[in-house]
Amino acid sequence: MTACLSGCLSARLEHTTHHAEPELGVEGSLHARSSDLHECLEELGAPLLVREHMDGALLAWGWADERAFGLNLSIPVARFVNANLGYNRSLEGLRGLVLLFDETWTLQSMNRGYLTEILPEERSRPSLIE
Amino acid sequence: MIKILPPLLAVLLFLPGCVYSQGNRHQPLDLELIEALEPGKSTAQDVVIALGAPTEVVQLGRRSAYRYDASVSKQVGLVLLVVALHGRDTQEDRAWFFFDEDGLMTHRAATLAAGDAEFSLPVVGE
Repeated sequence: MTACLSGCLSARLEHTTHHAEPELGVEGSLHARSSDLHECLEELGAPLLVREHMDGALLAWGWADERAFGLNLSIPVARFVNANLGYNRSLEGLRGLVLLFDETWTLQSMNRGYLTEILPEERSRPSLIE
Repeated sequence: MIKILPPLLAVLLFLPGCVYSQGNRHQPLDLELIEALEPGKSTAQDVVIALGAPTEVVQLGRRSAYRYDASVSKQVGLVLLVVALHGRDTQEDRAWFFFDEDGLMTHRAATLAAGDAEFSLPVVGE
């Protein structure tokens, strides 16, 4: 029976954590068009990502605390033929916070969500001509 | 001996298996060295002398930012016949230094968490 079970049924449980989420409510103390880079770094710590954005900069913080689950059932229906039934809930990636700053390091906007969805498309500016 | 080998292997096949692994990337950051570098006083050169080559240099118009990091990833896995459990925790030390167009540091931020990484298995209902 155990041989049958191990061959026919398998389950997978996965827990992944990446980085730590900034304390809840921290964003409440940050305000667009008044908070500056110093305040944001004090509240949120070192960002995961910094890059140029328009004439200013984009800073992103990211974290994950996710559970994935998988179940697979394999049933022999004929010689050398198995029927497979599977269910998988997979990991969804880093959640995070994206802050946009202008050229004077004043916070312009703040977005929360999955980083893959809220990160603006990367555009590189032409090289400076001195 | 040869007679007991097949049943012994069969028993071993169904015993639970456990795996631990740890991966480290770069040396942990030193908070004292980071705090000795002060915005408004230290330059990009001071930062490089104190901490070595940065992991990443980002150009921000005429300004720039240097990133230093180190991470620890701990994994544990347990296989119980039909159930496989896997837990992975990755934590990071990170420091960013922001410079103006003259290379003078304007801002600094550090988060040191690599030492907080843990071996932990997923538990149902946790």
